[in-house]
Amino acid sequence: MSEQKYLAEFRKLFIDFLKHMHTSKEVYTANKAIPNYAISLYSTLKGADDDSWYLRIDPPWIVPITEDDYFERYGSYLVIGGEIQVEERKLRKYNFYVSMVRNSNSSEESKHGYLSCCEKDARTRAKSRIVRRFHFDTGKGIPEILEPRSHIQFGGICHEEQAIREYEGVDLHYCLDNKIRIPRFPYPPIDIVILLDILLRQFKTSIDRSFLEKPEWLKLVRRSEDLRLQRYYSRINEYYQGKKTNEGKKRVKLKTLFETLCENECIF
Amino acid sequence: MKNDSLLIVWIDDDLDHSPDADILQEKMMKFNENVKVGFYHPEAFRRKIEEKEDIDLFLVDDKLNRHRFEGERYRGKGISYIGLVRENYPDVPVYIFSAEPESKIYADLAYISEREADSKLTYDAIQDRGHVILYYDALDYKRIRNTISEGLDKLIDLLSPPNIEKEKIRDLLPDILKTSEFQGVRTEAVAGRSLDFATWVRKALMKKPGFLYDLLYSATAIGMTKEAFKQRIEKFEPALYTGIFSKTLVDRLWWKTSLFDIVVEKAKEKKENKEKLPSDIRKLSVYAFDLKENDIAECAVCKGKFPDTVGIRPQDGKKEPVHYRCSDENPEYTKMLFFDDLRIIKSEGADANE
Repeated sequence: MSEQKYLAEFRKLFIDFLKHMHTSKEVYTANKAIPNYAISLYSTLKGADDDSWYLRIDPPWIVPITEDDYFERYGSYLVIGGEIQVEERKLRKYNFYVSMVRNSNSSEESKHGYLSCCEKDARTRAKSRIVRRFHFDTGKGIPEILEPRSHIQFGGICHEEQAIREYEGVDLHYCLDNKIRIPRFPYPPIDIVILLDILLRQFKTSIDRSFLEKPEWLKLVRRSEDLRLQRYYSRINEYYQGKKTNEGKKRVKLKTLFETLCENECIF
Repeated sequence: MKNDSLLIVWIDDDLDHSPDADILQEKMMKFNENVKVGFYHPEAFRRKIEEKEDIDLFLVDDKLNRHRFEGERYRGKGISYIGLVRENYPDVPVYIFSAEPESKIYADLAYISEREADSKLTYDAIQDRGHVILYYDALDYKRIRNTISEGLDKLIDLLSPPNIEKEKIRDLLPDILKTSEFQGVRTEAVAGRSLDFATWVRKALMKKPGFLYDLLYSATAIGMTKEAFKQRIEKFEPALYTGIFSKTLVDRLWWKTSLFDIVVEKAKEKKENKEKLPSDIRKLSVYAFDLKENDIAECAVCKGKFPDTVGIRPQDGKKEPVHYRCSDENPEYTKMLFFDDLRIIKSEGADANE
């Protein structure tokens, strides 16, 4: 598939995804803000050209975690967002993230021995804590450092901090330092469809589980997997095929898989 | 009867109102000369109720027991007469009216539920706008009756909705309209179903924000103040609700998703190469319509820009734009799938983030 066709398919996938988020009963019941934001993004994306388009999930989508004693007791939620920019048939920007925010009640939690180190210290104690943050990116952030094109980063710059403060309260603690930008580990280029599917299968949330079993949703996930993951794994497969062919040849300098996944022409 | 003909039956024990029915007919004949308003004392119509005429709308007085007809007095009130009408004309809408002034009508007719009467009017309203209300509503009820045997898709088309909303609307329609025996057949099983559909359109779709937005909701959804929206109102005309019962709406309504499409189209017209446009429709609207700072919608609580929805102020019931974070869920508001909630605006003094 040509890059142009590939990106057009990608845009179509997001249009259908946003439409689905707007029309899904489970999403509407869980959080009406999501379908309302989704339809707004759907309209702008549908109206854009295949050659240049921009999708930014901001404000991020907030999905409360339920039926989990540790998370639900004080109200915890997933914060999901990201952006994609295609300009002149080139993928210019690509990142998605999920933050897990957990509220706390220090005096109550100390009874259960749940207190984290941040909560034990009055200086860092806050109503809400970002307890995990994962950032999925394709691109090279620091040109002079060898880093994989498609990668996962733990923590990272928390662009959604302001949105979380506005949602929950000004009292927010993020101790996964905003300035730390490495290491970046090679990771398949997952998008928001796959990300949401993985999260909703592992956490019980306000979005009813039946959402995941709907044929329309499964179709979206498979389309996304075909578009985003197939090329990544083919690349890895090619690496191993090449390695097998070139092994023992003195003039060929064998690269590691990591080096291969860091190459500039390695586009996902 | 011809397809464009209409017969409205006015049931009233006060025969002095008969000339008003004539006036009503005259006014309606300006729209369509095949309109007839038949005036009957409740007892007179009762004697012929089983004749099953091709009636399009009943207009029934709330009080029917004051004046006799040929020595006989109808002993019930308007509400009991509606029951009689429904038994014989299950697909014909019944509007009830009261001679009380508008300020009293809600109290006067409060005991009549929305299910019992399809609409409540004052006598003044009948004299003032009655010809418009009754003519266009009767016509739309007739369109529903003529379409109902063609299945749900055709019924939904009467609303002229954007494509993306059709499936959701289909999901929300009363279950009785979706049963297999109803689909595509016009039998006894469908009796009264046209009114079920009409009731859902008027009491849910047009009344609760979600698919259709009034001026304040529309403006807020695309990031504008009401004034800014009004100044550009002709640009939003393609999004206007023009489906059944739109002609008798007091306040105009717009399809939410069509408004978004208009913003996108406008931005596309304006876009120059390589410009990166915001994907949030409210922010895109600023670009598309050259909004100035004071044209952008503002939250009633934090005064921040781009409020998410419309909420209600608990102290005076006033509706204003508000962020989700600056408002709370309204426990008294009946939640409905695919419709917006009417949220309670937090008091301005309180910290919205608390």
